[in-house]
Amino acid sequence: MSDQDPADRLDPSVRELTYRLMGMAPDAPSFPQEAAMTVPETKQRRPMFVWATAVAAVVLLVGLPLFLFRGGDTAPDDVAATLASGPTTTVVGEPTTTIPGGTTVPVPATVDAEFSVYLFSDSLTTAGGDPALVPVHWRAAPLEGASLWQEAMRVLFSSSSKIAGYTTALPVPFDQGSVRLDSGVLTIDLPAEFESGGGTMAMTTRLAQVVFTATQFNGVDSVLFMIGGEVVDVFSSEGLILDGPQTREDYYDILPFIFLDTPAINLIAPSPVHITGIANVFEATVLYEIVDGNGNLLNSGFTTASCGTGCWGDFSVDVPYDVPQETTGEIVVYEESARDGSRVNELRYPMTLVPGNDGPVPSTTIPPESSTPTSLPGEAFDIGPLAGDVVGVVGVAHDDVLFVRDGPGVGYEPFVELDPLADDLVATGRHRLLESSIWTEITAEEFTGWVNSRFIGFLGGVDDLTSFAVDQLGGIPEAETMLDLGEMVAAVFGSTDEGGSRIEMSVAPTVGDLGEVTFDVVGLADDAQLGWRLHIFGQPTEGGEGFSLMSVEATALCGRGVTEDGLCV
Amino acid sequence: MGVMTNEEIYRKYADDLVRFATGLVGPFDAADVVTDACLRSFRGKDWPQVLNHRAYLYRSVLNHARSHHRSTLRRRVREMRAATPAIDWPYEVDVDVLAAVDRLSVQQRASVVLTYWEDLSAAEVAKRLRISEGSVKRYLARARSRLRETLDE
Repeated sequence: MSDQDPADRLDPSVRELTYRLMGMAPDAPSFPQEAAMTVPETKQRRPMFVWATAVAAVVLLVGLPLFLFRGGDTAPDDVAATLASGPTTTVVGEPTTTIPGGTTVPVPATVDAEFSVYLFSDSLTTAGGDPALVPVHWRAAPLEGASLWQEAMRVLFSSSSKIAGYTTALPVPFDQGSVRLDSGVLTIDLPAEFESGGGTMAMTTRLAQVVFTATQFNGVDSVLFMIGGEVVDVFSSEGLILDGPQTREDYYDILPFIFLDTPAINLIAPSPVHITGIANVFEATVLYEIVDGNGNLLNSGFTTASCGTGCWGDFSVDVPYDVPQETTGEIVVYEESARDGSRVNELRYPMTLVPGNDGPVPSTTIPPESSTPTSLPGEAFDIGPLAGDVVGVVGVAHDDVLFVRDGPGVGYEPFVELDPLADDLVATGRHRLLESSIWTEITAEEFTGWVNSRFIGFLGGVDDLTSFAVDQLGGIPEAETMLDLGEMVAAVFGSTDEGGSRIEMSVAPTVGDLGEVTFDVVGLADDAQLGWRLHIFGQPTEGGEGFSLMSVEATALCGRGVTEDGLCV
Repeated sequence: MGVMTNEEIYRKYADDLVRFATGLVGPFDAADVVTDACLRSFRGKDWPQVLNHRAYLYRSVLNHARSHHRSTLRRRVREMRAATPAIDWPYEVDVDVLAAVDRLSVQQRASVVLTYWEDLSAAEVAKRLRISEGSVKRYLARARSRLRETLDE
C-alpha cells in the first residue's frame, strides 16, 4: 500500500490530458535493420585519462553527496512511528475514554462518546486540488458496553456519516461482529461488495477513512483488511496492493501538506486549543491562527513539525484564546511560501469557541521583536562560517531575494532583502539549529540579521568546465534560447534526482554578440562543496536560430571555507 | 526462458516505447528517439547482461529524450499554430496538449505518462526510471500544478 500513489491519480484533467497526448502517438517504426548486427559499439571517445578525470569529478562532486542525501531522504519513515499512534480521543473535559492497551474498555455509560470520523471535505482541498481527508467531530450518546472504536466504525460505515459538506467513500453497511482488536491490530472483515465499484482512488479513499478513524484511538495501531474471511493483499480489480496491516503512514499521499488532526471540525474547543497534526512543509514551519466568526484574529503563532522540507513531521501546540461568549470560529493552519512569503497550503476548520476560565490571553506567540541570545529558538550550532568570514548568497533565483530576518526561523519578520549575487556578507559566527534548518547570523554595513544557511556559501575558485559539459552532453549543445541552453548545461552539474540538487537561474539571460546566463546548482549535500555557480556563454548558431555553447565558467560554492587556491575546504 | 533476439525484444516493446517517447518529446520525433535509443542500447556492451530489457529501454529513451533539444517541441508547436490547416499529419495533433506538455521538464513528463497512462505506482515509476520514489512524487506534484495552470488559462 505504501507504494500506491492515489493522490497522483485523482486528477481527471491530467489523466485526460495524458490520454489525449498518448492518442497522438505515431505507429512504432519497423525494426531498424542496423540493429540486427549486434556489434558492440566501438569506443570513439576522447582519450581515456580525460574521460576518467571527468568521471572522477562527477563521482566526487555529485555522486557521493547525492548518496548521502538519499540516505537522508528516508527520514519520513522515522517519523511514522510517532505518527501512526495518532491522537487520543477528542474528549472534552475529562480524558477518561482512551483505551489502554487496546482492550475493550467500555466507556462509562454517563459520558457522551466523542471521537472523529474521517471524511472527505467538499470544500477543503489538498495542495493538488483533491478533496482533503479531514476529521469531523462526532458526539454520540453514552455507549453501553461498546468500545469507542466499535462505535466509531459503526458510525463510519453507517448512513449517519453522510454529513452535508462531506463525502464518504464507504457505502457498505457491515456487521459489528466482524471487527476485532487484537494486540493493536484492528481486523475488519468486509463483505465482498466493498471491493466493487470505483477505481484505485476510490478504493484508497475507502481504506484511508477506515485506517484514520480506527487509529485515532490509543491502542489501535493498524488495520488489517479481510474480505469474506480472507486477508486481502491485492484489493479490487484495480490491483491495489496491501502489505499487511495498514497504518496512517500508508496514506500520507492523500493528505494535504498540512493535515490538522485536532481539533476536529465542529469540535467545541475550550481554550487552550490543542492543535495537532502532521505536515510536510518548508522548514517544517506551520503557522496557525484562531479567528472568530467575524474574522477577528484571536491568537496566532507558529510551531515546527518534527521534520520538514520534503518529509512529514508531526506538530503539536496548545493555543489559548479568549471570547466573551460562545461563538463560531475557525482554526487556520498554513505555510509561508519559501519563495515570496505568501500564504500557501491553508486549511480552515470550523469550530465552536467558548469562554474559558483562563482570563485574558497573553500576547500572541508571534516571535519577539528583537533577538536576544537567550530567547532564540533552536539550539546553538557551531558548524558554519566563523566570525569574520565573508560569504555570499547562493542558490537564489534571479527574480527572487533572500530574506534577512530578525531571528533564526521563518517565523521572524524579514527586514532586508538580499540580491541573488550579494557576496559581501560577514558572518558573526552565530548559528542556530532548528528542527530542519540551520540559520546563520550575518552582518553588512547597515544591518545584522539571520538567514537560512542553505542560501549562503563561500565563493571558491573559477574553473573552466566547458569540456566536461560538452562531454556529458555528447557534443556541443545548441538551443533556441540562452535559457534553454543554460538549463541543459546546468542539468549536467545537477543530478537526475530532483531531490539531490537544486538549480536556480541566478542571473537572467542577456544576449548581445554573445549570450550569457548564470545558474546556481546547489544542494549537493556535501559540507565542503555545496555546488557550482555556472556562468554560461553561448554564441549564435550559424543559422541565427539559437545558441551553441561557447564556455562554462564554474565557480565552486563552498560550505566551510576556501583555500588560497580557491578550493573548498 | 529462451533468449529473445533484439528484433523480438524490439517488437515486444516498440509500441509502448513510442507512446512513452511521445509523452517526452511529442509525436513528431518520438519514432526517431525510440529508434536511436534502441540502436544504442542493442549496440552497448552492457546489453547482453541486461536482465530487465523493458526498464533499460525506457531509461534509454528517457536519456535520448533529454538530450533531444527541449526547444524542439516548442518550435513545432509554434509552427503548428501558425500553419495548422496546411500541414497534414498522419495522426491527429492536439496543439493545446503539446503546449501544456511543453511546460514540463522531461522527467516530469516521464512521471506523468507512466503514472497516468501505464498506471504505475510511484514506486514502480521510481524503479523504472531508477530515481527515488520521493522524486517521482515531486515530479508529479509539480507537473500537476503546472498542467493545471495551463488548463485553467
